[in-house]
Amino acid sequence: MKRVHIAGVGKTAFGVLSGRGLRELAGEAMEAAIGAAGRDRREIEAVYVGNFDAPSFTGQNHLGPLVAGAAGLEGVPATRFEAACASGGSALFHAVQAVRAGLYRNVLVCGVEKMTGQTTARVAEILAGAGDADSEARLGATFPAIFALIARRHMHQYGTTREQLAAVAVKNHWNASMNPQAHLRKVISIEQALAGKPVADPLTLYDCSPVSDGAAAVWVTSEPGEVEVVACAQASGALALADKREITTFEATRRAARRAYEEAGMEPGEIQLAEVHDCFTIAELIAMEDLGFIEAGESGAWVESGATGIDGSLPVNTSGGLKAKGHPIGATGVGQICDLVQQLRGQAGERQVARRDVGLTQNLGGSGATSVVTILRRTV
Amino acid sequence: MMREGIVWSETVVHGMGEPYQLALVELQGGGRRLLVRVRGERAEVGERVRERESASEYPEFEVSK
Repeated sequence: MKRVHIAGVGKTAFGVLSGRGLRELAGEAMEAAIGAAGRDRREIEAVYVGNFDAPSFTGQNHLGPLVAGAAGLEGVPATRFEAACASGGSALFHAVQAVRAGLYRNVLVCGVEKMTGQTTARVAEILAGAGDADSEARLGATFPAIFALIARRHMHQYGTTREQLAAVAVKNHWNASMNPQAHLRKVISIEQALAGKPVADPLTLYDCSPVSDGAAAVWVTSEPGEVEVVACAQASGALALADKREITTFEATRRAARRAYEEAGMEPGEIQLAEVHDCFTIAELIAMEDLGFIEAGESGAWVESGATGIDGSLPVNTSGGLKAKGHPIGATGVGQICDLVQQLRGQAGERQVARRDVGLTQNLGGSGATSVVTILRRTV
Repeated sequence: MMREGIVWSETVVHGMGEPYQLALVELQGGGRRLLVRVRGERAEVGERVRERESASEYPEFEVSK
């Protein structure tokens, strides 16, 4: 098996990027990644695109060649990967496997989504397609509703509080306030988060990630580099909430994490920082538990203690996370890699963490039916 | 046959027209769960609910009295 490194990363800002289409966003992210790699784009042998639902959001299908063409890469195999909110992570996972296996030496992964410009109801309808159409979408189980059901059960089972959910939002908004590429850069208080407009009890607007546009790109290579992909694992679980044994944990994340730690030969305690999938505040708490950073049911108090802040024992979502950095679905998993690489290289400015040797990303699809866990290590 | 069960989790959804309640119900006899709409009085976690007659295409439950 070949060792896999990251040659370069690049992304657009995340937010409401009016007047800018998929092609332009993807092109900007890929040009930035190619520029950061400082290598000839003709070395790229394939383009893997992470995208959830461009056909519904924009009417555009057949994204592979569209995205490849945006970076002047016509001719190479170019394919779209879809795994709901884990589409970007899944594209990365398949690129890493291809390079490891020696199929390609250089693959450019680009995640992109153009979500704004639709009504809230239409966005909710499109997003509901990431769940079970028969048993969830048909009943009006929007994604906030699904994660509200998860949050309510976590609160009932472990005593997790609304204040602990709000603490996730406050931390991630604080981090995003220092990230010039973030969608929501407003600092908020616990009181504001608690008083947010109700979306699906117990979740308010401040528990939910925004609807964003954006793109991110990562050049994956078998050539040595400053950052090594020491593990990348994808796993699946039941699609419908009703079919899960437990709804306060995501089996797919536990499986992917177990494989990733095995691949890397590491324990959770060796991870120094993480970018995790906080599509809703409860998702960050569950990620902490599923990734083995804290025991089940203890994540709320842990976040409230400040342990996951930039100066904490395990900084989590220093980018602002999906919650405040933004969540252009197909771009999210690739963007997490960009953010982690920035930290490992010591380029995160005001948000820079002290320990920056090993970091982890976790990208979740649907209500935990797909999860991708990646571990990166600084080599120099 | 009308089904009965215990509410495993629940939420009230806002901003999509009139607020409505969804509940994940653990069905009596077998432990299988089902996502349902709850009509009438709000059902809390742990509360007993039963299916009600409905013309809708999805299952509707209500709090058992």
